[in-house]
Amino acid sequence: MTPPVLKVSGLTTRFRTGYGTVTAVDGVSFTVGRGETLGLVGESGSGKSVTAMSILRLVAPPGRVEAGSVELNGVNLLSLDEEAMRSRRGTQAALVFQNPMTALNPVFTIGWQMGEVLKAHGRGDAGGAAIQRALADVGMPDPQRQAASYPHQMSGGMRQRVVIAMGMLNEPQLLIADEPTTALDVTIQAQVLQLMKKLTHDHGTALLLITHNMGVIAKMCDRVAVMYAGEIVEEAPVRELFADSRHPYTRGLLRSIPRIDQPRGQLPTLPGAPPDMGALPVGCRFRDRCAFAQERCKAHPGLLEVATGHSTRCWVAQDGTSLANAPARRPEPAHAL
Amino acid sequence: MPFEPTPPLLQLDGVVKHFHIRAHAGRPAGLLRAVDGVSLTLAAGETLGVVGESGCGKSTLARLIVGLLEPTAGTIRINGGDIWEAGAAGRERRRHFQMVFQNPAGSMNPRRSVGASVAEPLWARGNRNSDDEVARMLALVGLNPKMAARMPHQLSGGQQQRASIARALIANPALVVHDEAVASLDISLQAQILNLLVELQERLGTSYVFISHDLAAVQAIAHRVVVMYLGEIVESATAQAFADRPRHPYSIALRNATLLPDPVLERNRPDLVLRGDVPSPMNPPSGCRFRTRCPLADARCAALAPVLRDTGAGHLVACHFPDAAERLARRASHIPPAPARAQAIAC
Repeated sequence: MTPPVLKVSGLTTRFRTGYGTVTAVDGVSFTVGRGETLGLVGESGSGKSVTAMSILRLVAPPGRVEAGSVELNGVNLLSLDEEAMRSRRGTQAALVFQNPMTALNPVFTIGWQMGEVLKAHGRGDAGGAAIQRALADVGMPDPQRQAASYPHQMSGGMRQRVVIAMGMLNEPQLLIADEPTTALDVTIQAQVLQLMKKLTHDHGTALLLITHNMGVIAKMCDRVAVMYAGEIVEEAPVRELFADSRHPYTRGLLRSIPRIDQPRGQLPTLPGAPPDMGALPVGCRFRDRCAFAQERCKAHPGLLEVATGHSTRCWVAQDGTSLANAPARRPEPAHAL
Repeated sequence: MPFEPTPPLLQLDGVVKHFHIRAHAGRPAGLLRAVDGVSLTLAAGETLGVVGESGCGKSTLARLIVGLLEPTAGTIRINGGDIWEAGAAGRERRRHFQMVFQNPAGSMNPRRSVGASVAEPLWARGNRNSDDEVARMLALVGLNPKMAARMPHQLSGGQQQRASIARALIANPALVVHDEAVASLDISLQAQILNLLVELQERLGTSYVFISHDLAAVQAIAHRVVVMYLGEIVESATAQAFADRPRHPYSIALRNATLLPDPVLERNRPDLVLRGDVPSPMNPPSGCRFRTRCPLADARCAALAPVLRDTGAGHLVACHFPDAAERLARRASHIPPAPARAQAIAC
């Protein structure tokens, strides 16, 4: 087996502020292999974006990566000096953000900005041809004209293509995409997802896809890690996660999503809301919202493998008890406080 | 329009809203056709779902319905009465509507208590003794009545949206327009709010117009689904008929692009990826406005705008191809598998 492109172990990122300390990412571990797509899914505040920023060492103070390691092709990024780290950003690992308008400079042309990417990595002489090839790769009609245009002259979908083209310009082995399609309309999302699938397939790029959209996960990913309150609570191959989820949070989340193939009616919901990251409950962090919560859930569960490649952070599921049959207390009404 | 003994709660006839855009920084002046001839009806106690992508005119339609914008042409009637009739009659009719906005934090005054914001519609009618009513409404939307004393920033996003709903319902409106009311909420909260809206409708009999870009959310709540594209309605059907079989190529593409949280189904259904972007509403294509992105478009579509006609049982479709769904399905089955397909029909 070839070593993974990205290996994250025990990654912990804290924000220490005057109001207290928040552990936004708490002991997160996962790997992404060549040509593989790992989905990192969770709700707002679960720590998925901070995980992405921590991997590329882009967390700004008061945030700090306090523990763990991030190995990219066997090199621990967290022990590199800033110069060595900078040379790897863009060439070995690239990041695509949610909002393409803020990722692009409004006063320079697309071609100029892409030229900067090449120059920054000593490939300035590759020039226009490389840029036009990259733009053509992401399906831009008339790349020569597009390279001469400004971000505001393009639609949202086009801008996101440019950002992806920029990310792929130096053929990185790892692409991190943080909610790459959330700001786009669904028909444009379909275009961009298809493009990302093709690019990662053609280049063998490892893709870490961060999203809150379970449909995007279902369409794109090979494996999925589910985050809740700063931790990974479940990790599994994509089909297994959807068919046989072993964590009550994942189960509840999946069942609560409205689907186009289901008629109008009441949706099963997860009660309550995610916990305040500054005041986490003791023990299992999902305990307050969980229909299966028991006395032992007051102790914090570890992430344990319960089937091949399938881990969960739930005491009940770790027993081998199927959550479909486990005794559940009646969940409180959806809107209880 | 067939003869109806009692007029529907809400009736729009040929509603048009054009905005004049002034020339600015090299951009020529022009006419933005935000809503261009929309007709629809809504019965009391029912939910009309309006779905479409950015720029299709759905938010302008929301503002037209609640009377925040005056239409350029066409009429909007509530219980048969024109809401823009001059004088007191029109003003009174416009009071029957309320609206819930996408961003609950931005739609509440940050310097007033939640209770004061929720009471506002009653105060506007001169009722100052609203404390009991506020407490009752907060309880109804699942909030602790004590929250009336809190400030909006002390509430979570989901709680703020519940308070917005309480404010919309407190004066007992006939109709509430929800413009992207769940879009800014996390997934586990979206389901809670959708359920709450259905529950409140059953209890209070309020009609809703539920406007969203998310077809799945619309289908979870609507009795009737209307699909908009570039200011026009392209399809209108009962939720059941629409869920079973959308007929307009755009609706079919929209449904196809709305991903299912199911990897087995999602990977086994054929992709229908539309090429290109939505054209500018300042310069819509001739004929059928969808033709520049439609896989079926031919010369007729460029020459002639299709009318919205009944294809049976009140299922309205504006397309020259009555068998669009079958044609698209046939095409999909001829398309080679990914990634070659990506180049064939996308981009």
